[in-house]
Amino acid sequence: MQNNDFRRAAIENNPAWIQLLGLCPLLAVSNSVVNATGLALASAFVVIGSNTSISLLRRIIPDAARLPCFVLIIATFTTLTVMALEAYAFDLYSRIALFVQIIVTNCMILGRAEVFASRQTVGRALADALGTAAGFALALLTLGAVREVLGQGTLMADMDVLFGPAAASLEITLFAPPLALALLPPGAFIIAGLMFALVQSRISKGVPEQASTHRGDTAQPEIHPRTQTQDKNP
Amino acid sequence: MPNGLSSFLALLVIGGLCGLALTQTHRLTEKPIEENRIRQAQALLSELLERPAPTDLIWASGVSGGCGDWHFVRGGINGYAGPISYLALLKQDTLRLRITHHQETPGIADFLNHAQDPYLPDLDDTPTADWARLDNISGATITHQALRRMAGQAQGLVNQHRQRNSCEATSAE
Repeated sequence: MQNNDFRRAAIENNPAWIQLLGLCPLLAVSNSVVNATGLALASAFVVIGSNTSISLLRRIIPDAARLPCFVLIIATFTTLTVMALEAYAFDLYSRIALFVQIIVTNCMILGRAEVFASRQTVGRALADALGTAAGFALALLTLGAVREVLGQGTLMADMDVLFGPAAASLEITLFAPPLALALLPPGAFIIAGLMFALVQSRISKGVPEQASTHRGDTAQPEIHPRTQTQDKNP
Repeated sequence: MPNGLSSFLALLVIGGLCGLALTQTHRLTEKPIEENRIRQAQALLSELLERPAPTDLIWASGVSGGCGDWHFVRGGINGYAGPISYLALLKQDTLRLRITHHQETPGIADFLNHAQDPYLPDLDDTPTADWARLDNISGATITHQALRRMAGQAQGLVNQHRQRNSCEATSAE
């Protein structure tokens, strides 16, 4: 069951490609692989920490005040991430600080807390968080790699900022940058749009029309969880 | 137990746990964060001064440099999305300005990041009077207005500092 939770969160309900959540940091920070990796790790820490904590505390979180409680827990993990980055990865912090701080408002994380973690066991909440983190990282890294290659003509440049001096040798120089626009905000929108279209076309080709309709029905509890009872943990 | 009281107690427990995690992490990271900030500030001071900056600078009301012919100024002005902190070097009547912290819109106010954009380094050694006319037409944004106000504030702080320390009288002697 936990494998299913992981696969569903990472692929079938990929937060960026399928649900279009967390697009602000996704578009802003994905101008290079190192920035994308930094944000992916930060988001992973927050979603895993908050999902697990919310699942652990689900029996004492009052229903009427659940959203403030979720935001408090998510904000705590975001602040812990900010402090750790500023202390131990200062160069990376200087580049992506603003977007790490706004992880607290990321709908993807609040959504998983509300829909899943607050009503499932710790094991399932953890599997869901790992899947969500992996799915978001996949989207971030793919977009980051494409934009870096097109905009800078390199791949994995400046990895030493994140992983120390030894990682500087990971940089691959491919060619002269063919499309500087890829590094700019309009380039991010265009490339992300093309990637979303590609993913959607793959899905619609792979799933027959009837199954597609059925998939839409099953997605409903993900969006309106409080109106559903079937996945509420007793 | 009444519903309201149990909710309150639950919030208290969750808030307490979050507070505990934050204070313990702060205790662990406080020293490296402080060291990183000092290292960054020292590098910035040296970049502005074009030689290693003294490590024993004494700051008074945001100004450092005694009665010499240069002064470092640190301050803050409100921009479009919150306070913008800056560090400036006033050398006689010219100004070099660097932004140390801001929350302006990424992509639009990237020119504030001197490491990524040469906008501010290109203005180095511009007379302070000329900063008041900076990008009056092409860059009439709140962020540009904040830059102009920073130049005025830095000059004002240095003037106050020199008056307070009777620098003009000292130099006349």
